[in-house]
Amino acid sequence: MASEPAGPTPATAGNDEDPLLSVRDLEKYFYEGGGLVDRLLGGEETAVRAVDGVSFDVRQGETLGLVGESGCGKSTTGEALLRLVEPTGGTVTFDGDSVRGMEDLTPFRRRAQVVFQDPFSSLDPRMTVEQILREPLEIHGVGTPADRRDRAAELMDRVGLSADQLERYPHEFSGGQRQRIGVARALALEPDFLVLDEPTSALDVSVQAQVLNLLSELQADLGLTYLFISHDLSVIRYICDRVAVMYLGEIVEIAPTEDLFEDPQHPYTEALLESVPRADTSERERDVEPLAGDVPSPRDPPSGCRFRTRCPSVIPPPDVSLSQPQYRAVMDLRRLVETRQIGVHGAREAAGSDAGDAEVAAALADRLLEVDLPAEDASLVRDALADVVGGEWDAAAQSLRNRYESVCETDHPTGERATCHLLDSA
Amino acid sequence: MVSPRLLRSLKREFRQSGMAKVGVAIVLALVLVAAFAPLLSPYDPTNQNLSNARQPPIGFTTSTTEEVPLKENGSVVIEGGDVVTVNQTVYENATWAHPLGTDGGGRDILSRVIYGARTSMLVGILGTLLAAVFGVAVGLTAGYYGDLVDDALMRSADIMLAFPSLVLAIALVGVWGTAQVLIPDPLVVTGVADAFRGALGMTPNVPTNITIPGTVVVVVALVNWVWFARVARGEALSLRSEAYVKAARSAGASNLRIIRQHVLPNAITPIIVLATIQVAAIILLESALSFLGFSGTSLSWGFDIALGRQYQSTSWWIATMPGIAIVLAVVGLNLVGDWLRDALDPDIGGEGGV
Amino acid sequence: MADPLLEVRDLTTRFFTEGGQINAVESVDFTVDEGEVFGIVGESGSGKSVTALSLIDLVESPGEVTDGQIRYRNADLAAAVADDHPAAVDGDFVDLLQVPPRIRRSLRGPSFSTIFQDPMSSMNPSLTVGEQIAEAVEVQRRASANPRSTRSRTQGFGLGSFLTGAVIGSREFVSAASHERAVELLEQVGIPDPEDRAEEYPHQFSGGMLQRAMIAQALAGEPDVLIADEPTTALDVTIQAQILDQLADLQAERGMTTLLITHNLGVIARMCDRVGVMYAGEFVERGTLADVFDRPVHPYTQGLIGSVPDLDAAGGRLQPIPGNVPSLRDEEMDDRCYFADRCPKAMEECLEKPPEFGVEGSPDHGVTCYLADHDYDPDAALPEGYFDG
Repeated sequence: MASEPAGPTPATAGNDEDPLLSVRDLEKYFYEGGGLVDRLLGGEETAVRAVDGVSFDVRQGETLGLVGESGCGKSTTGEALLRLVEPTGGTVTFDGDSVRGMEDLTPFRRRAQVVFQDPFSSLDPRMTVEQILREPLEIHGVGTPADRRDRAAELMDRVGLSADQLERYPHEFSGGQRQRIGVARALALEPDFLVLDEPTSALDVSVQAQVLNLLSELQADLGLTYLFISHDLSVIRYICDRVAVMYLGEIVEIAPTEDLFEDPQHPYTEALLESVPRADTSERERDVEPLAGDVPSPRDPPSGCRFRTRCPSVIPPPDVSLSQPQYRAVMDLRRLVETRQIGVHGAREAAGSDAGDAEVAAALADRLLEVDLPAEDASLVRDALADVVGGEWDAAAQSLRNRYESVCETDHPTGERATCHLLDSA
Repeated sequence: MVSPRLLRSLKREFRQSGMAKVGVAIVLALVLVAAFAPLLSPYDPTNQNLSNARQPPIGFTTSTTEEVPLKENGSVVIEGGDVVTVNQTVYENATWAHPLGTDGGGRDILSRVIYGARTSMLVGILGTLLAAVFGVAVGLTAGYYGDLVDDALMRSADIMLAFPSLVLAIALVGVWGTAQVLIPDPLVVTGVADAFRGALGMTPNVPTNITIPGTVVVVVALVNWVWFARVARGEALSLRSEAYVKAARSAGASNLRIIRQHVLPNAITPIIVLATIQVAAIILLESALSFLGFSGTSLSWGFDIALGRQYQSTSWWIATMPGIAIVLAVVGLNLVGDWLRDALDPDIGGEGGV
Repeated sequence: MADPLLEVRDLTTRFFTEGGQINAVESVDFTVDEGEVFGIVGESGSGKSVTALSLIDLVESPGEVTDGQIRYRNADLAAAVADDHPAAVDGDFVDLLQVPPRIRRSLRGPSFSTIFQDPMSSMNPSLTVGEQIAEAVEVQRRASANPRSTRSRTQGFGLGSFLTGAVIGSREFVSAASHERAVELLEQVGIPDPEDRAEEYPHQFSGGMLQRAMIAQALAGEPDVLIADEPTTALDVTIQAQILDQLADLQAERGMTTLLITHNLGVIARMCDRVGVMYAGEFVERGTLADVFDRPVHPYTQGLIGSVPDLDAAGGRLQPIPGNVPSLRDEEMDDRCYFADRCPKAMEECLEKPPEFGVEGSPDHGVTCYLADHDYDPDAALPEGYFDG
């Protein structure tokens, strides 16, 4: 499914070395409804496009952040590039080798490791900490049993825990300590690259700070490269060198941390930054325009730019002169028409049994549009709604589309730094 | 696999629950009786003695009234061409020599119940073990790998479930016969039994071999493995998406290793609970098979019940005593199953916090 | 300055578990004025949620409120219970811990309303959203029809009416008027197409929508006090912004007194007038937003603020608080300052429990720490590693 161009292509200028990890057009689709019984009942398989064409590089020694809200595909990206789930498309190159082409993943696994989010379920409750730390060493046949024990003790020390506690079980530790054990386990095989999947999201703020400092130290001491996945922007700013912002399976903006936070280019990045409440007494005075609506389903992403259904800066056609709120209202109405979600019956009842189509349409317009439109547009909308009342949904959708179709819905935006048509050079 | 926290839960639950104590007592008694049968059985359970036939158990007296010819001075009285008969009532008294009475052949019922316990325990435990090993292997594989493997394995399990277990068991035993496996009884062979019995003045002879009804064990296992497969599959299905399983995979562990080291130990608790209950179910199944004559051994509670059927109205104890034994065994095992489940359930769950 | 609506004094809640006694909330004091938003911030194990649950009598066994007063100003209620429970009444204030449970229960809805973290599990999946909100409206109607009645306001939902409804069939569970009001409320919380959405079931709502519906349900009772326990923790950040915006609007419109509990300092800063910081079951610092954020005195508050990475500034080093949250088990708690083992400024006197001091220059800024009374004295510092081993 490569009909749409890829997201931003990462800039590698300024660094002559090849990146340690290179991801191009990575895709992971989950297929639903393809089981035996579903097929017998005539259902079709639908694809949940969790990761849909993601490209980025991670350079040796840097920390790349992957940030987004739930459902954006950031965790799946992390798992897919490690082949913990099998990608359905794209390439992943680690230190020059193609990860997807590898028959034997064992050498790759030694060099690329994961730290998971949930400190409570990421450690096997039936194993002692020592067994947990030794397991990677056993799998790869590293050292003698005595060596492994020593290494386990060394790892505990490294993450700030006491080697006396090796005999204990995970439930005897606090959340923060368990997360440290998770980090220790990831370091057991002396990897080069670590995927950190929301490593501090389940921790209290004061413990989070401890773990973040630990991760920074370890990176400096051991020369590690991190892919840091999180939904928490303040943490991302603190620890990452570069940041990629994801929305509905795609990267919408990728830039060095300072640039992204000081001068965001994509409307979604701006909205994200604006939404986060600051721990500051001036926060109450800060005017926030929250982003409207909910995240659309990855089963059926919007055409063109996926953010357009919520974007506060969606681009109207050049000959339409509506303000943003007006245009947004028209676009929302168009969506209701196209998905046939308007309750004509209810409106008809409310208007009275002897009301004509036009009257019902006018009533609908009043109810559905929260802003006033200029005369010409208002009448166009009412005509379309009259079609709807008469049952002509497709005609209504078409007439509205003819007038109000945005480049954001027809063309999938591309760009080096951010994928948005606002940045297209005119 | 048995963590200290688990032991603490078990102990606490045991202390708190009266039913658990009863259940454990019963099961413990059963196991001991089965193991030390040669030492505990007052008589040889196969020893027939017709003169002692149909003696009632302690506390009961039976009487039969029949017409017998009247005898005077050793000869029969005849009057008017007919033999004169009188009603004679014969009393059978219970004796402590046979506290549970004797059966139609004069065999001591207590001894038969004791040896019957052996059969039930052997078939129950071996059958369950076999079913568990096979069923858990199938279930874990199905649940962990999912998709086609899951479909294929579980559909075959469903097919097995479609057959009523007793009917299937009878059919299989019918086809394969009732092969017995004879193992010399260590207590007899080493002479411990003789010494013990001699010291206490019990009759010296006891069966020298332990009879394991081989086909029955295999058959009950075949009929029951499906339950283990289902439970194991469910556990594997939920465990495979646990973060620590992902972590093991990312460390490069093979699937087999993951199943063995991570999935199985964490799935074991509901399987153990199921196993105790299955022992009870298998005991019932074996009794049913013996009752119907499809057993490998005559030293079985079910067999005795079958023997006692014809005497049900007159010598009711012959069938009832083994019946009571079955009830006790099943109830005891179920209580132990409850205890285990109550103790292990919070262990399955996660952390709680204030 | 508005009048106090809720005065909590010395509130203590303990959990009597098999593993021992747990002191979840220890002698907590705070006041919430009418119309203000009071925030309680703390990390896990601080006791903030248990405090909220204690106010509305939702603490479950083996937990129990063992001490203290919850003084709620409600003239009608005071008049209604004065005869039967004179000890509980003090002017217009009623001490909720001294009235029988059924009276406390009857306050849930009309006086106190709660929204919780996870809306999906707080809603009945087998009733439509509209029905659930209408039910809450119904309860309020009955309450306002008979304000002095302290009988449970859910009379009429019992077995008798259920059977009658099954037999007669057409009897509605809730009245049409209540349903209408429910739709109105859905609109007020920003749910589009409220008539249609009211007929839908909770699983058809997204997380943000469902949280709005829960707010609507909480408002149906027209409560005096809204208690929000981590209302946005489970939501994405853009949705959180919507919900906080909505809550702020509603609060401004209705002047509703709100108790907001969260671990997120940003949310506190956005929504609250006054703040209390909890640690190990106690309030360690309490004051206005400016007091706590700009002039924190307690080292825990300072540490907490220093642990949060700054969204708007680059660099800087996070100053985490070393160590772990202490155990709340009674046998393990000494009679000292509970923060001393992690405190960078622990002094010898901290081995004695510090009382609450007021901070000079602030009318309402209270701190449970000796540093509020005098400066840190390095000579009196506890030796390194005092608490180890």
